[in-house]
Amino acid sequence: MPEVIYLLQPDGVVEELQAQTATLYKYIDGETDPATVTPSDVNFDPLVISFNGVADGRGFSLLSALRQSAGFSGRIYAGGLLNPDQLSFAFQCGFDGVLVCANRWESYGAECWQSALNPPVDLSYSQTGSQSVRSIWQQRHAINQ
Amino acid sequence: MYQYDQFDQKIVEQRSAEFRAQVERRLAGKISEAEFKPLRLMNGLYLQLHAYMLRVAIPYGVMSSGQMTALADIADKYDRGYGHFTTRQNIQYNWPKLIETPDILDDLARVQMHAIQTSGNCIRNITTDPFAGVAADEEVDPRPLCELLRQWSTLHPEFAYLPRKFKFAITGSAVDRAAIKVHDIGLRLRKAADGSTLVDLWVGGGQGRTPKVAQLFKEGLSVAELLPYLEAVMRVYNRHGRRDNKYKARIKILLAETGLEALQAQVEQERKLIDTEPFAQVDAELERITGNIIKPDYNAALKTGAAPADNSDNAAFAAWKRQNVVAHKQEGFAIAVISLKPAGGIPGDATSEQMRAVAGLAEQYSHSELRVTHRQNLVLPHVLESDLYNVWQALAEVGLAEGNIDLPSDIIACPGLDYCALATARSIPIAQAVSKKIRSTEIKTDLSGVSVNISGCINACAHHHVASIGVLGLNKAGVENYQLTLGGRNDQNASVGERLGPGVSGDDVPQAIEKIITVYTNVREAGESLSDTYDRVGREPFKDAVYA
Repeated sequence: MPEVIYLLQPDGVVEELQAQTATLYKYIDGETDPATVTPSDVNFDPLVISFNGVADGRGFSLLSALRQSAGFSGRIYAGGLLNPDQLSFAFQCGFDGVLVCANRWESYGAECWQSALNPPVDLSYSQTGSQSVRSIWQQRHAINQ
Repeated sequence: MYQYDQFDQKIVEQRSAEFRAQVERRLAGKISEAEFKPLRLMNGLYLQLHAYMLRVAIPYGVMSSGQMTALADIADKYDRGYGHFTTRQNIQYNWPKLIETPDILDDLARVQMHAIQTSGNCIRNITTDPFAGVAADEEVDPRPLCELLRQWSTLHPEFAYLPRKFKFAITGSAVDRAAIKVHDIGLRLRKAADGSTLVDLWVGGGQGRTPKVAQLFKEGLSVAELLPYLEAVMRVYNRHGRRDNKYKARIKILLAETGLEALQAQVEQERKLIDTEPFAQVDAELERITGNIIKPDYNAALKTGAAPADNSDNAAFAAWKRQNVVAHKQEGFAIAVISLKPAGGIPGDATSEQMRAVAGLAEQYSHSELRVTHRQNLVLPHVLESDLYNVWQALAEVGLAEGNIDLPSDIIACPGLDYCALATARSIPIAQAVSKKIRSTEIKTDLSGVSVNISGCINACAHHHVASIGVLGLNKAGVENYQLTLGGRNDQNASVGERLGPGVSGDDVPQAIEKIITVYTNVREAGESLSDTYDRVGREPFKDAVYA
């Protein structure tokens, strides 16, 4: 099951937050070109792909690259400037959880973040990364039953 | 048309419920307009000049008579009694209240409709040939693939936050009625020698401030290969498309800056890494979709239908039939196009009364099916030839019997400064004046090779770049000014029109267009469209006439 992890550190100073949690997580910027990711970059568990804005979806495609081309099988969390309405997409892509900073946690409220674990839209036609939810196409054709 | 199953139904209901909760959070002040904006845009809700505007999806322009009736009911219940059909084969309501939009989405969901991804930086409503499945010249019916791609792209978790909006168009005919070469991705379906379907992929077309004709990117993909390949294209675009400048964020710019071969190589490399397991069931899914597309029983209808009546002495009906009726693949049937372009009218607008009348005609004469065209008209796709006269008479009763399809008065116009927050000039009043001016001329002279598209800003929502006569409204020092372009095409020979000269005032646009048409009719050779003539004789004769 994916999880929402509340980080006590204030956000606004991303570098500071990342430095304080560097022993817990290995941060990779969502803008990173997958071609530049080295084996040492992914020699850590869990990784955090950091989204730089709610409209910037590069982190979703970076996740696919880390899973498929870099072959990373450990945990990958989404961090940075995601909002609760984006968590269903994050989980369907295969993120194992989301790191939420204090400001964003308080801004949206604990209930909003926790309820995002059970998103109102729990269906997806063609799943791209999640192993825990079967896509509509899989359900229709009973693949992997 | 495609019938929803329980999953399709559930996903639109869930999405509607999700949007209701988002609206409630906005109205309660729990999220700001800045936070709400991307959420509402993904449900087609814009904030325009005077009010919200809701864009409802009509996937690949196909709908039932029941759905059209529901659209009419929404127009009456929540709006001002009319709707506006768009170049993406959708419908827009210009006056909904924010608090009522969740109720509208619920009403839509009840008839298997929604507003998902009709806006936002995601894959938009997929468009196709409005005569798909019925055109006499069709090689492959594109509707099953349209539906497959609709499902694949609906709420696709990886591609919901792209650098910019992304538009697909699909055709299965050599004559391109879907304008695939001015889309981010255009798909041309054709038959291989063994009877299987092959797909040619065109990438990087588009309009806006940097118009481009798409380039052939990948030839001869099998249907099974298509989705992993598209996934690779989208992934490369999502990663590398520019996000520093919204005007340079479309894939056409990525293609131009990267180069065709280099971008093809990147996509090929990505394709090899794509996990194909999610697509393992695509063939079965396509077969299921094809089975869920209801096909009319033509033979039964032919047996019960009357013999075609001889109405050749009715000149008005003959003119309408000549211009608005298209050959059907099934003998004894016809495709009837309903013009939403009465002379002096607002292009693409239909009142709720007209929508209900068209829904009734579809039910009675067209196996309950309708289409929307990218030229903002409607289509009855399965009409017995013997019923055409009755259809025409019924259309005339509600003011929809204008026989001007593909004539100059069949104008595409964006909402312009009357509604749109991005517009720099009015387009609707210009279209109204132009159609009034040229309707009498086109009745007397064959002008079927002339198209007029009018955009109210550089974003080119009315596709002015690819009209034989394009009109672009700008604002110059506080005064509306209209640039004219000539020679554009949106078909299989797509090309971008060239600017004729200095802009003219709005009042002068109708006369300028009339002068261009006069030059064309004087110098054209047999079978030439205006753009053909322009290619042959060049700009000068037209320029001399307009600026004399």
